[in-house]
Amino acid sequence: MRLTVLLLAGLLSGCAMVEGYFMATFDGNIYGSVAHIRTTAEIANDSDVCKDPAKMAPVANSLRDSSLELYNYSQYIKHNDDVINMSSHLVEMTKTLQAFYEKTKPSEAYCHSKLNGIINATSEMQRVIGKEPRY
Amino acid sequence: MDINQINQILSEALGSSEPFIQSMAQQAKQIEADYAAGKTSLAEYKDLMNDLVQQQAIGVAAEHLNLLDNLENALNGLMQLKSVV
Repeated sequence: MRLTVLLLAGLLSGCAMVEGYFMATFDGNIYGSVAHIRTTAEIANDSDVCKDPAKMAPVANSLRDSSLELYNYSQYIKHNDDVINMSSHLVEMTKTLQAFYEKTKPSEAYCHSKLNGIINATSEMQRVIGKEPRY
Repeated sequence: MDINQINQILSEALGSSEPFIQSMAQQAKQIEADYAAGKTSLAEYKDLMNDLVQQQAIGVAAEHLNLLDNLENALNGLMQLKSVV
């Protein structure tokens, strides 16, 4: 009995050694936040908001706000450097989008290209964040 | 790097099996075409090209995270094998 307990303790402690040592474990809030940004961009890209800067401006605000919230949420999570890094680049993309709609009346082509970039970036982020270990 | 070399690299990227890389190449082609057709301004063109740089940086970080994930899985696998022995 004592041997079994000792073996079990050794097994459990052995498994625990690598958990979260290299990277943070899967965080549903981060994954959900990235999915939200991607979905917002996809819906806008498939609708006619790009034709009207007045309609697109609130979407640009929302994308910038959600990206900044993702970055701020991720910022102090231990072993989360890659997600923080990816989020900071997404913030850069959405900040310029928001700034363009605040200061100018961007073209429809710019709008679609911008959204395609955000969709591509967030799809890639979801792909790798979704693979993070769930302990 | 001349225009032929650039087009060669973009063609290779368009044929990539990685959707992320393929999309970046498609975007680059579209951004060039839109600017050439006068559909976007120079400021818009520059911002869109900068977004491709941001996406490239996201791809590098994503690949690093992917490698870490694979490494952690491998180490856990080794430890499980050791525990079995």
